[in-house]
Amino acid sequence: MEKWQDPQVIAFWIAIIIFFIVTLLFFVVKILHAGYKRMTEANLRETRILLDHQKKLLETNLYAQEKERMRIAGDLHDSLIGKLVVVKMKSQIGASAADMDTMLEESITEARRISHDLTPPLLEYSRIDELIEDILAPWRDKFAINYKKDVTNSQDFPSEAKIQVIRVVQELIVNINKHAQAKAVSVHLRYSDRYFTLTVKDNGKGFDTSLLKKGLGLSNMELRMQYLNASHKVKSVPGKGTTTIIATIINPPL
Amino acid sequence: MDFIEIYELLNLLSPLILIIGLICGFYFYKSLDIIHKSITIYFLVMLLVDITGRIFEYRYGNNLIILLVYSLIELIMFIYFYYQFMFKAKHRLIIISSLLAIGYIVWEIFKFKSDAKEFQTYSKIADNFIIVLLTLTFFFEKINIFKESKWSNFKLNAVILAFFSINMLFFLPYNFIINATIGFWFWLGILVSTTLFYSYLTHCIWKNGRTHKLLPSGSR
Repeated sequence: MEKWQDPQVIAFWIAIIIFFIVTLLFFVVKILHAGYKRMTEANLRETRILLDHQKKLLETNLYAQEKERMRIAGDLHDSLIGKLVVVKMKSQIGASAADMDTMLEESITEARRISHDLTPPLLEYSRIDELIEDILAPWRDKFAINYKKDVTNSQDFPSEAKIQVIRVVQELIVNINKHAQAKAVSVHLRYSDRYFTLTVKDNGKGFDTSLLKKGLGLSNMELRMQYLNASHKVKSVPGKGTTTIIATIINPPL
Repeated sequence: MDFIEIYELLNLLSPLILIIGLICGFYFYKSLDIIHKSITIYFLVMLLVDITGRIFEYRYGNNLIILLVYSLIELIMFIYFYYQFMFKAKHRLIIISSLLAIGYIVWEIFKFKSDAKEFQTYSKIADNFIIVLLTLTFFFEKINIFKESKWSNFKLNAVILAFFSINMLFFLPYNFIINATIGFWFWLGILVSTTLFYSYLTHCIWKNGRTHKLLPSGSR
């Protein structure tokens, strides 16, 4: 009789197959368990990082609010209150009506500047491209500004989104002025039915992006990006200027 | 061409693919990474075993002993391969199981009798079972040192796992394969799975060699 015809041999083969399947199942369960454990740990780690990040952004936001309040208080104290005190003193010593008129006019202009600084005038009635133009206008003396707009979407941004975009542009321009030593700034706005992109490029000294520190300005910008559901990228090479790109999809609309 | 002639031709398929793999391996040898260099060496050893098996069959009319030697060589090569290039940890239980399997195969070699009717080897089962354990341990190890970066050798390990699991089941009824006429279909199954496995390894060698050859030095 050949070996394979022996029932004992066949039973042994079946036992080996069962043992093999059990071993396979044991490893599959072990691997699945380990994988599940790792996945849970990774998710937990990710959530923790996200929470830390949100906390940091919130702290930055509060700090930025405090800083802004201090700046407004400083503006009011140093310029407007100072001017009004002078008006009061001049009125007490009997200054001429023309003098008083001039000083009051200066005070009103100062109050208007502070007010405009807080919220751009006609925010609701101006389109986003016009508002950006207004932001850039005072800087034209300092830089050669090339502003290109490509707006094909007839629907305007909501005011809450507009103010965020304006603040980002302001922050970028202030940063260029402070750090870049640039001579020319190019701003390109594209606003179509599907996308909104804003590119701000300067020809300044640039920097190594790997050494980029997340200061108040950048953290604030990130917070605004989150509000707009937008993403941003800063590209820079030492000696070759800096480019900041902001992009968001207009679906669902802002 | 009758059935026997087709069978004879099919039998040449696996050494043919081994030779193609070896040509690829030696052509790209300097550009290959250590894992693919090892696969090339494995191909060379397998080809030598294949040729020896054919010589034995031609001279003695029986090459059953070669299957045991082949199992031993293959097992030692895979244990070395996994412990040298794939594993990070020691896995004591796997070492003990491997030594037991090697001991068992050596014991089978010593008590070998060339009667085909009586011949039922479990050496190939032990060999394949340990290799399957090695692949599963590799998966387990990789899952446990999980990093969110590239997981290299995943596909290679999965193919080794699939091939040796199938091979183990095919080789289990060995006495049935060599004695019963219907056992031919089992041989055919072994032939197809081996051919596919060697083809995949050849493709890996070719791909690895070609990619590394195109890369500038220092970027490997």
